Amino acid sequence: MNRIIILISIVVLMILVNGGMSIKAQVNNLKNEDQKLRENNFSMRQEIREKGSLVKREGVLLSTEYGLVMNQSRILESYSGTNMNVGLEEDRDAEDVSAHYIDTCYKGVKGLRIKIVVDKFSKETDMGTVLDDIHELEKNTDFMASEISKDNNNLIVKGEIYGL
Amino acid sequence: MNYLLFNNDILISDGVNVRRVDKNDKDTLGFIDKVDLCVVDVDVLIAAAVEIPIEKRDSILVRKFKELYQHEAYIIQDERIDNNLFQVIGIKEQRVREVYSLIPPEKIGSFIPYGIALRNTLINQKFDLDKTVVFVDDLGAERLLTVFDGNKFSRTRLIANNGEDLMPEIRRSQIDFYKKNEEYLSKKKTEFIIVVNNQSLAFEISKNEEKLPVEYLNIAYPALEGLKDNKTEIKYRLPEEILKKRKESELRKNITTLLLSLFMATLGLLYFLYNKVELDIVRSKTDLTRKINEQLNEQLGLIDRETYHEDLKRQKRLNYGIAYLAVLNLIPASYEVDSFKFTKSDHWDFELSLSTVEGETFDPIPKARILKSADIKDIFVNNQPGKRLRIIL
Repeated sequence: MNRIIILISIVVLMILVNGGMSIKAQVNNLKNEDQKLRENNFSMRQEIREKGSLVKREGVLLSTEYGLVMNQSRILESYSGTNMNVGLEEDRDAEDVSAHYIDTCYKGVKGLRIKIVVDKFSKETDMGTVLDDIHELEKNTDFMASEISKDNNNLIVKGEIYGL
Repeated sequence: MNYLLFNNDILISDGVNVRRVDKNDKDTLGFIDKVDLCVVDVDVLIAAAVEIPIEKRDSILVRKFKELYQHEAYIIQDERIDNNLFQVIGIKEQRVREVYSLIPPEKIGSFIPYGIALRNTLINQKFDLDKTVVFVDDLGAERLLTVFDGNKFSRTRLIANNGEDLMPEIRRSQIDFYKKNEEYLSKKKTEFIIVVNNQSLAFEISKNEEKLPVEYLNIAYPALEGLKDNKTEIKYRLPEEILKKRKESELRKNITTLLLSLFMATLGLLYFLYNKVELDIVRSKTDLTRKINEQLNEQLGLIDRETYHEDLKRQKRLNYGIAYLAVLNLIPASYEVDSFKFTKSDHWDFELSLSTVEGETFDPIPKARILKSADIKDIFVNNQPGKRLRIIL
């Protein structure tokens, strides 16, 4: 009888220790999660503080911004006589552009990766002017270039349009 | 401490003096101090049995003893004398009751057979018990004859002192012992030595045969002497006392088991509860941190939606055309631009590949103004010598 009692208590002890250990693992996971959240909170607070000094403006829908970039590029084409071929970076002939919206480093702000290929230059236009046009496009819209390269006769501009 | 030898009457020793007391002398026995005692009237059996489990061993030994002494109730004790070999020593229950009726149980220290007390003395006196020893204990009116062989000993025979020759009784005791324990004796010879605690008696016995090994032990009461140095755990108790002790021991065992079980369960429970409480605390802390995180996330989302224009504007400071032309103005006319690339990371990287115009000289590129910190390397472009420039803008 005593042996059975001891055996039962050992089994109970093992069950409780096992349960305790599994809870301990949960505690450790939660502690790690808490630590990461705290670090994230700290960096967000800093970001909020930094961005607090920036001028606030109403956001623009990404579809509207996309149209703005397209129109701006047409205007620049007509000024400089170059041919700017604008399209999505991954799928140039996409039927629905909204399917290619991506998250950006700005919370609640979407992005669209585009690629501009300039393959026809007018004789009067030098490369400096075309690059200036790209900067102009950036200034007038929420487009931002991330890579501009020229190889052979093509100037390729990769970048992102931002909007809500 | 007093030492008692229980026979037909009682011998009491205070460690120095010995006196004989009648069993009816309750005044003397009732006021006696703590005692160690031995009883002459015992029955002995050598029996083989398993050593473990103890319960099985006890059961075998009791059964074997009862087969031999079934006419009366005995209280039995045993001692291990070899591998799977035990000496079972029984004292009639009536005799044990008699002892306990004369001396209160709490005053009795050890309660052993006469044979063991005597054996203690023989061992202390360095007698070689590998040989069979017949001990003649002269108590005056009677002589006690006990045979020893190793740890084994015989039932003690009482011979009245009527002046007759003891030798035939000695031989009878030795033969009887040999016959009963023949199968357990290591030696098959019937040789033995006689030890007597009375010098004149020893001399008398030795006259029986030439070269008869008779030794004299100069201790008047060797069994009482042996009680003084008793190391055996044997102690005879009344059955009800044994039962009581057993119950107490079982109760102690049960309580210990219960406490141990409770301790183990409590230990496990404490470990479990400690972790559970810690989990609740950490969970509530994490929930709070998560809530703050969600609020900050929302706040940042709001601020991001309102300020992303401005932030983008901050980052669009580089006019690629101006930078390109500023570089181009410093490059000698002997070169033409083959390819270039602006790449953005946390700053802008501008790489330019130049090749010499055919027939022109391979001029050095001045490291001035925008090219002040430029990394310039000599390369070949389309089989023409050229330069690669890398500028951080």
